[in-house]
Amino acid sequence: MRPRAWTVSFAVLWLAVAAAIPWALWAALVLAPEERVMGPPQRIFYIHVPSAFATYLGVAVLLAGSIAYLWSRRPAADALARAGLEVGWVFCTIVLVTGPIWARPAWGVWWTWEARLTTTLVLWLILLGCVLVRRYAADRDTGARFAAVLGVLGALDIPVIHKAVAWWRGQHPQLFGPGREDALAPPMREAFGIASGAFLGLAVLLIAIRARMAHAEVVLEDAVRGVEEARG
Amino acid sequence: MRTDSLRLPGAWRSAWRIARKDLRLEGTTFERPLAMMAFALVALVLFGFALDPASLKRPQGTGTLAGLLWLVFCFAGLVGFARAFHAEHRREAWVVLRASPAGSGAIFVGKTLANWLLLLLLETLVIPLAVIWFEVPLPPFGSLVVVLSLHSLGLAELGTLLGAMVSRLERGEALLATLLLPLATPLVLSAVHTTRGLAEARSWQGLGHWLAIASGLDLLYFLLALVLFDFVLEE
Repeated sequence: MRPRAWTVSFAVLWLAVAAAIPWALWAALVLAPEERVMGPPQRIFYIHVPSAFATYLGVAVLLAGSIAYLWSRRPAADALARAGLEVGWVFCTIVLVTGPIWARPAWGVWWTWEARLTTTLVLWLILLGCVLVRRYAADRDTGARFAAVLGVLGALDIPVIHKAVAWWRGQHPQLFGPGREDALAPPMREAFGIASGAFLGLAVLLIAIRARMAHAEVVLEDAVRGVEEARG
Repeated sequence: MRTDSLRLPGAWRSAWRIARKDLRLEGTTFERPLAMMAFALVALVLFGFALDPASLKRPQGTGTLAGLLWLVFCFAGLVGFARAFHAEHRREAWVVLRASPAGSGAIFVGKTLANWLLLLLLETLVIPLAVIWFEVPLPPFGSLVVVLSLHSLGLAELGTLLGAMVSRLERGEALLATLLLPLATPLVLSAVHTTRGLAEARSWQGLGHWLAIASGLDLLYFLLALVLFDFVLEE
């Protein structure tokens, strides 16, 4: 993309997200009615589930970037994979923090070894491994390659982990899917839609910023090395 | 026995040669089997101290014991996997191996085979000890062999791929557990669940889908690792 077009779309996205986040907060706290059984703690749902969506987006970008990097070896693909990984990891942390805060009043426990919780925790650990492997690598290319291998392996392993853990346990509320169309009241549905859009927009923005930064790091490093080599 | 006379297709023959080379090396130095076995021994003894032996007695303790045994196998396996490529790094043996007609697929299969057999050897030695020390109720022999082989194979596949990776990182051995165990979650779940179920009920009733998931995982990890191994070996 041409630099100017990039700057314009980046600015538009930035402004949209800056407006959407307060809007989502308003939707979660004011627009959405209070849930009859769970009361106020239910409102964390409008942060928890959109963060989970943002995590999945990050993992999808990680998978796509990793495959693209292994295929083409373009630093831009690695920068994208890295951005997806780190942003996904941050949102996964938010999911894991907000979940127990809700679970304590709703289920009476902070944590339970239930299918979706366990899968999310394992996902967090897999992403941690991807982050760490770069730090252990002696040079940038090795780190990028190994992180991409782990990214592909981890992203494809996640559905399998979920399936296996679901066979082992099950308790998480299921609000979506066939026959569940009216689990949320219309204003709740609206608030949830706004929050999801805002969080996904935020994730896209963060991934774009991080990818650009990672790419700039590579360009800068190469430039510095070039100058040093020219000096002898 | 001259294995060369076996009419295996080229890649499988190379893989078998690499596995045989590894096993012969371990058979003379005992480096990895000793390290794995020593670790497993220490872990078992520590379990004896750390856990109330009465809580491990039948019937309630069976599930705990199945879990403990698989933990020992996983971590002892990690000790072995971390050094699976140690010999190749000494005296630049890598260069020779990579220059040989064996492709990266054959290297992966050969190394996995050696890792798998080492893990099975460890399990054969650890299980009788666990029976003596903790009175582990054993599943019927045939089903035990199936459960151990299926789940160890998946662990060996992941261990070979990630072992090759960490052997190329500085201080990488410390990272192996963090990388491997989360990825192996479904395998460990399935292993513990089937071992426990078989030890308690002594039949396959209700465990069929775990066998399916274990075989599926073996296949999935095999295919993924086969594709990804080439990228790990790259200079």
